[in-house]
Amino acid sequence: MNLIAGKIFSFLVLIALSVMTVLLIQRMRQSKEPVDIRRLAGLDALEEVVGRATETGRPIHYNPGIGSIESASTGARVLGGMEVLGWLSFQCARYDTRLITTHSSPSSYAIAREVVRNGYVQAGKPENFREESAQFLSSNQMAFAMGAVQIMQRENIASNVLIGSYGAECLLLAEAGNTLGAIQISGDTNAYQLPFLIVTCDYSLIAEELFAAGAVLSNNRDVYGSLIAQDYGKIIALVLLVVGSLMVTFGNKAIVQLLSW
Amino acid sequence: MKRTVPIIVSFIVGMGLMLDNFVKFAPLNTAAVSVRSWLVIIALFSIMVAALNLLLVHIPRIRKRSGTWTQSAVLITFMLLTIFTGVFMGTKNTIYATFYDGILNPGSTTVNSLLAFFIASAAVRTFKARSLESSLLLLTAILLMLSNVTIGSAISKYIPILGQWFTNVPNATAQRGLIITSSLAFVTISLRNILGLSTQWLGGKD
Repeated sequence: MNLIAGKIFSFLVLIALSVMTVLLIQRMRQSKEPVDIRRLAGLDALEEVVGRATETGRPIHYNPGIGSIESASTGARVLGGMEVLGWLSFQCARYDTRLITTHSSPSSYAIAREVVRNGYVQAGKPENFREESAQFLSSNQMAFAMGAVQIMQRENIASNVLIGSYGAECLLLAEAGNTLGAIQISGDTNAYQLPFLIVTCDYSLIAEELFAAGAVLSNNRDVYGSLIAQDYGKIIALVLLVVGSLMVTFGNKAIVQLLSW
Repeated sequence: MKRTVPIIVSFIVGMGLMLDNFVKFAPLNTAAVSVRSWLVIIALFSIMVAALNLLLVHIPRIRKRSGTWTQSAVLITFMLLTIFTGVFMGTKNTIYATFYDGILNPGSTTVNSLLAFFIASAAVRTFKARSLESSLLLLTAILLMLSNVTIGSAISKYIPILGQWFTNVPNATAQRGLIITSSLAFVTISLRNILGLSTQWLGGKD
């Protein structure tokens, strides 16, 4: 058994991050000290999303984009969106607010259906779950987008939540929500789609905020531990960037060699 | 059991696939190839579940003649026709090819072309100097648009240079920042799922 050359440093970083995550989760379990987490406007607005839909008696639309859960590049983003969907479905079940989720990927649809159903079960109202709460539309990007837009218009949605992995369809979905006057919250890490989401939606979860969203909403101290580990990871990355830039500027390539070890 | 077994399976598979990226170990590498090929089978099953959802949502609508039931009828008819022609007549069959090349592709292209108008309407709404931030956004957008058309260099030779600088320095820096922080978050969310801290995807209770 050998480590693959060129990936040794990445492997060590991954192990360090994993160990740090597990240790911080254990520390959070044992300690009772309050956790101070930066408020995200997009997350605070999620309560407004549920509130407005409940008051107006109109449904909430959730869409995780075209990303599939089994893909290495989109899976984590879809999972991040699912954590938000879990909270959203629980709140919708509590307040008897209609939730419609539309899907392009069959695998993300299958997971979302369970997540939504779980929300209704946790709220003690499993009988209120309907097949329409999680709808598969089409694997074709544009057919899916048009299907979702038609549902949004037909149901006259009050709120539109677009958190997941998007392609070009995000603008169609967000503009349709904007035309309907729906309160819109978006979230993605794709730098090509983020500008579209930011200009068309009321609130946006940018990049890592998407992954933190589920952790914050879960209100689970174990999960907070993983967030703290992520912050330590960011500090290490920042130190490596600054030190590496300075060393390369002065002709020392030790960090470059270490990173490509 | 209903939740414990999937958590154990996801832990073993997750850790195994993660190690496969870094370690040369024949049994592990062979197992990882097999597990990845299982994805195709799982994806096929999820397509069946998705198709069943279409039937469960649209058939009651057609039966009750409620709302847009005619569209539901068209959808179910063409879905069944496509499955039938694809399975029994092959994907090279003219009818199957017509469904794809004559209906789906032109429809997709048409919707795709609508994006140009959506971009314009979003830009008109956004590029208004309402605050310091939106004014900076507006100025940068004007500069970048000018730097990408010939009139920009006709106004000043510095406009394309400045446009290039905005693309290569502040834009690239911000994008790399997003990539680094997102990658770290990718790792932690994966760990949350592999370690069984996020289990909403498992559905119900034990």
